[in-house]
Amino acid sequence: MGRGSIGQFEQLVLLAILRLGSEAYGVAILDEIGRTTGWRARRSAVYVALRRLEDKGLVSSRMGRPRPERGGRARKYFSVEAAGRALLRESREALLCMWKGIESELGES
Amino acid sequence: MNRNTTPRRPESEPPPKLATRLLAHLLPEEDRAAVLGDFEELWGRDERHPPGLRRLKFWAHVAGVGFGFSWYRLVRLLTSGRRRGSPSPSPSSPILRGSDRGSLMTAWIQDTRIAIRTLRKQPLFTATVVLTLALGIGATTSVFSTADALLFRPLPFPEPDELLYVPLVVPAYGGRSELEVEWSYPKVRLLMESTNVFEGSTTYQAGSRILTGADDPEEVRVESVGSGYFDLLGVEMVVGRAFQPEEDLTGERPFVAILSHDLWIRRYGGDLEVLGRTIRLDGQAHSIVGVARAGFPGLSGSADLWVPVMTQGASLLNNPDNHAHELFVRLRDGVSLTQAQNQLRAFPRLLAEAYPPANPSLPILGIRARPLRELRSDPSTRQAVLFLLGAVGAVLVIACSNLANLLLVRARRRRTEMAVRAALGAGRSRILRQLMTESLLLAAVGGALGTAFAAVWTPLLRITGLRTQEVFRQMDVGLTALGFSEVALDGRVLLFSAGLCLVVAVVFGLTPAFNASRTDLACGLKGGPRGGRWRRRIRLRGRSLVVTCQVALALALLTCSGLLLGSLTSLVRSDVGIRSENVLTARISLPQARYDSEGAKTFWAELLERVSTLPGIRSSGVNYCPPLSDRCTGTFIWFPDRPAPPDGIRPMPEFHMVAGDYFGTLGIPLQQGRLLGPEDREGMPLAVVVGESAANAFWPGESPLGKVITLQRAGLGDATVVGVVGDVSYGSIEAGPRPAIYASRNQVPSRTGYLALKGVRGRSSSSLLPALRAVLAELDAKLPLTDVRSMSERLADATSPTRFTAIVLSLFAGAGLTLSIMGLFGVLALMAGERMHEFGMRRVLGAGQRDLVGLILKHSGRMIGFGLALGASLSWVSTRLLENLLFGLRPHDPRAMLGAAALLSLSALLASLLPALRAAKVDPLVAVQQD
Repeated sequence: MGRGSIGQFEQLVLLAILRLGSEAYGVAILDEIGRTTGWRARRSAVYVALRRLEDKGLVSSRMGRPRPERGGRARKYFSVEAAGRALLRESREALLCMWKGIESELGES
Repeated sequence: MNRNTTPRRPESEPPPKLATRLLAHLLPEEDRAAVLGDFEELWGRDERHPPGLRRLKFWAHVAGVGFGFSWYRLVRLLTSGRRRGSPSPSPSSPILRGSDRGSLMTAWIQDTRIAIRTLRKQPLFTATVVLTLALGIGATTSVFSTADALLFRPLPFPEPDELLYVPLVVPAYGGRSELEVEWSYPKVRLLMESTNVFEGSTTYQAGSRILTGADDPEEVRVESVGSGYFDLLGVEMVVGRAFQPEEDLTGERPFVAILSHDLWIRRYGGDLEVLGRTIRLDGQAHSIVGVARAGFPGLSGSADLWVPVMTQGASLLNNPDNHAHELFVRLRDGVSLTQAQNQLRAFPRLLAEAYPPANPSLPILGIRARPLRELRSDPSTRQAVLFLLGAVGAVLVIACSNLANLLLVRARRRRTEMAVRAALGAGRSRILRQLMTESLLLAAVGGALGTAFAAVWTPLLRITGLRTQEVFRQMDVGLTALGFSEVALDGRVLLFSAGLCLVVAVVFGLTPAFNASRTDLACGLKGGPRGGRWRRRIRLRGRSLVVTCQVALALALLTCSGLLLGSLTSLVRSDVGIRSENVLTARISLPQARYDSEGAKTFWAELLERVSTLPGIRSSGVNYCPPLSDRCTGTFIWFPDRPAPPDGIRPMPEFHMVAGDYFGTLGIPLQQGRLLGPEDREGMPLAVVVGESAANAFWPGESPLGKVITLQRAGLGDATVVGVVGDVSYGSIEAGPRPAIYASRNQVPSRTGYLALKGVRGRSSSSLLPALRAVLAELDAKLPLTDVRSMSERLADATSPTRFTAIVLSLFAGAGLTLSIMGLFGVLALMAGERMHEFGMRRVLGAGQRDLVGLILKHSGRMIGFGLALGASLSWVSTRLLENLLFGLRPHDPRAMLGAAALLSLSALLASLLPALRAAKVDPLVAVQQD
């Protein structure tokens, strides 16, 4: 399946990273998903998704500097790679195509 | 390091260390620092939460993230192997060669991966092993969790060994055995003033009161306790405070009360504002000052709330003869039990001086101090639990030996595979490790599934146990109920379960693994049988020995379950002395504050009159306690026409206060004289009816009618016997009926009563309930109807402990039988397979089919015969341990063992026939050609 498709939650995580820009690290991503969607994302889901996305080469990461409020540990900042952006676009287009003509049926304006 | 950012507040609590360390282990190296940092950052945000909740949340997240990553890694591990496109390892891979390249971890991962793949290729084998193990480990784990909570674990109080139960002792005299009795409050005070070995003490007395407030009236179980109760037991309050010493003094109002966690949630919805609210207990106002921690049901095992002992009123409390309080103490630091006992030795004399006994011929009261843990489970529960633990252990042993046999067979089949591996350079240790990994994996999966089973069974055990305690509520079973309420799959039990899996894996995996790893290259590659004839024989002997032991264990299990089923049958069939069909019983307790004895008399008369007019009711009556409740009271009696007994001991029969048509409702037959009727009212001479046992015991060989007895019960005096009725078992079925005396409520009023209603034929007793409630509400809307059960339910509940043990043991015995028969079948089939060649030769040399069948059956018969002989001696020993749990049967009842042996032999014969017939059908030519 190659780099394959991605699940809905993984899309959420990728979009959150894009929205946050250079400040996208674990806690911020959790907050961003919560704030924007109103859903309470589970920590385990977010971290495992990040690991999976990194393993698939869809995101890359860099370490920040150590911080005392984190017990001297650094933040790990994520950014979306070209492959990730491409997949997001594909997935958006696919969804929009599928939505065409049925929005009214589902009570959306 | 950037030191300019805001420093952490020194007082802020760091995240739980153990959880952090656990998380670090579970995270992959590349994510570790970042995720741990995030966790610490989020921990800092939760600062405003209560510390307990904050830690719980942290642990939950650690568990979630740890599990998520482990699962992700496992899935990757499995799918990456498949992706590479090799369903089984290629001989050139390092896995087969057992190269030392890579760390131990990598090797382990490789082993696991191969094991998973191998086991997945044999789904039937894997499923059999995993299910057998899961059942065995699940059953063992849940029985162990019960045994742990009831017998092994320290009591759930801080420093439990310092806690003592201190009863007064009535020494054995005049043929009566020694008796432990409760204290009166003045005597407790005397003890505490005269000793210095105790750090604290508390009394408690269990009872029930009617709780009224905004909701429906409810009968609640109340413990009247000393103010030190909660401190002594180290029970914290969830909300509010414990009792204070000044609340121990009499006369102080308003009264205070502490709620149990259950009652707080059930009645007040866990409302934090409950403190200071006023509730009414038997009409008296009490203000709520605290709520005890969850899961603490009091020393009586069923308390809904606690009140200070002083709510009883000064007259009762200061009466030195009101022996109603249990006493518990905590030893002072550094004082041993023996030292305390030594100091207590002087107390009986002191007590006798302060409160001399009414009758100088009576022996003086003694005192005793026993560790609280001795009271933690009543002997019959302890025995039943230990017995079930032994039985479940036997099933596990049978299951494991079956698995060992199964793995041995499998190892034999894999000889060629092992030989190929060895030929390609895998060392023995590598092969051994590979096989052990398979066993461990099987045990782990079986164990996990078993723990899941146990998670379902354990609550059932807890509920059944608590229900049983509910039925047999006695003073000394309070801690047993407490124990049952603590039954759970906690860390200790899970550790036990994990240890069990490990032991099981090693036991059933090691021997086959050793066997298989001893590869004989030439033979293995050729695929032919390994070892000489004698070696094969030894192997077979070993397996036969295993089957013999399985048969023995199964026989013991079957015999014991047969005995218990037999005693269950005798219990169910035994005559309690009543006709229980269509009878509904319910308890009504009139509060002292609103009903004096005259009021009580009127209440019962009016209730019975109104109930009798209800449609569908045939008759109704009231007694103080229903049959099989063990809640009856008694009274000392003596005979004015006889000299006082020389030892001063008077008989104490049960004393029942009845009203309405009690005897007719329960079908208790009149044998002589008359029943109690409306003519037995106040102002008339006191009339009593006696039970058959009482008639035989007190007036042997003569008619009791017209005889006069004196009742010690306050103010009753002389009574004339007017009738004799049939015996009824008011205690347990096992104990049987005791001597009983019945008086009319019109002459002896009582505020507590069980109403018994008999419905007309064809109408279920529970359908009478709504009408009864309506009548009661008309009479007094504040009275609850409690302990509502049909008489048939009471009968069923009375047999529930025996039924429970019998059913569980029968399940174990059934499992033992099935597993050992499966083992027998496996060994015979294996033997027939190995000796096919020999059988062919025999056929060639002239043996008939019947001879071959006989040969296998002989072998099977020998295993079963030895097994039965061994099992008989095992049963002899184990049934002795059952002695106290049996009713109406002797432990060595030959029927049980003969029945078990017959069942076992018959099943074994059936299991032997199939391999025997297959062997007989062997084609001599094919068999001989195999060589």
